Amino acid sequence: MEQINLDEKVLLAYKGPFHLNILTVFGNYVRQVCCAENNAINKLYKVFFELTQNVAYYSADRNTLNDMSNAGIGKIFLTDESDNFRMTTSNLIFKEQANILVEYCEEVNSMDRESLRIYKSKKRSMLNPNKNGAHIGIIQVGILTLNKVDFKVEHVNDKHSIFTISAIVNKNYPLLNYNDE
Amino acid sequence: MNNLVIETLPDMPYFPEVNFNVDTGVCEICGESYMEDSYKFYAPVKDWITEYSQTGKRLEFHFKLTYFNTSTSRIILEILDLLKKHREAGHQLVINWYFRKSDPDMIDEVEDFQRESEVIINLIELN
Repeated sequence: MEQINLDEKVLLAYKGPFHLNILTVFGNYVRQVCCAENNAINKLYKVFFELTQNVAYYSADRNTLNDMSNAGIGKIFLTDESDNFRMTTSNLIFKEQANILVEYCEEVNSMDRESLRIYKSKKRSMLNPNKNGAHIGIIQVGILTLNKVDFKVEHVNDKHSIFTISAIVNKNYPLLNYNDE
Repeated sequence: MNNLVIETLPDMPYFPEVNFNVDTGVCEICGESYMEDSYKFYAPVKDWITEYSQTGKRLEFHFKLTYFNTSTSRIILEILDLLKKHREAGHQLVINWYFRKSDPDMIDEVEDFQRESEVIINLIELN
């Protein structure tokens, strides 16, 4: 049973399949329900799709529709923390992916924004374009938010773990070209 | 060779609108792009550019994407690579990318595309 924290201002909580049509509805809702500068809303919207499509593509727990398309199952939690929004996703992963994901998140957290842009370009150039996903979503989250991601891996059983990641999106980002800073 | 027109459906906003005109060489991609299987959606787009390029005519490309996921960004680089080949073959090329002031991250995205693809992209701010 999930704990309810009455001090949290919850804007969205969902557990289930991350099919694209559901994500589209939630994405539009995120843009409408979050009160902040346009720049922050844009960032939140982009972070929403990077995190949720990671669950859709890579969750080890899958759901199949009548048309045989399938999507990952997971959880998303969006809260308003007065100065920022916190978006958290969780999903089941295979045990052998845990260390890879932890190293990936640590690597992203160790870099500044400009290093992340170069890292993204390098990874993007090595991708197979004929596959879903780009495996650079977490780098993009770091670039967009200018904050480190919180993450953890929890043991489930011999085969599976749960991967949880949180992104912090500030409510006020400067409305200027970052190159002018 | 025909025009390439893909319209956006209201219940599927994750597909962008595509409008490529074979007579004028003006090509537009508008809206959002975060579909699954992005490589399937963009296959006819890339095929059209490859075929058009063989005509040797001027190409004017307008990116009016307000959001695209990282998976789509990989395909955009492939499109830019095709456009680069068009220019390298000695044909005229103009690429414009439109963005809103409320989305300065888009400027960085386009700068990264420019650096990676080595093509000139004109950034145009929308009011």
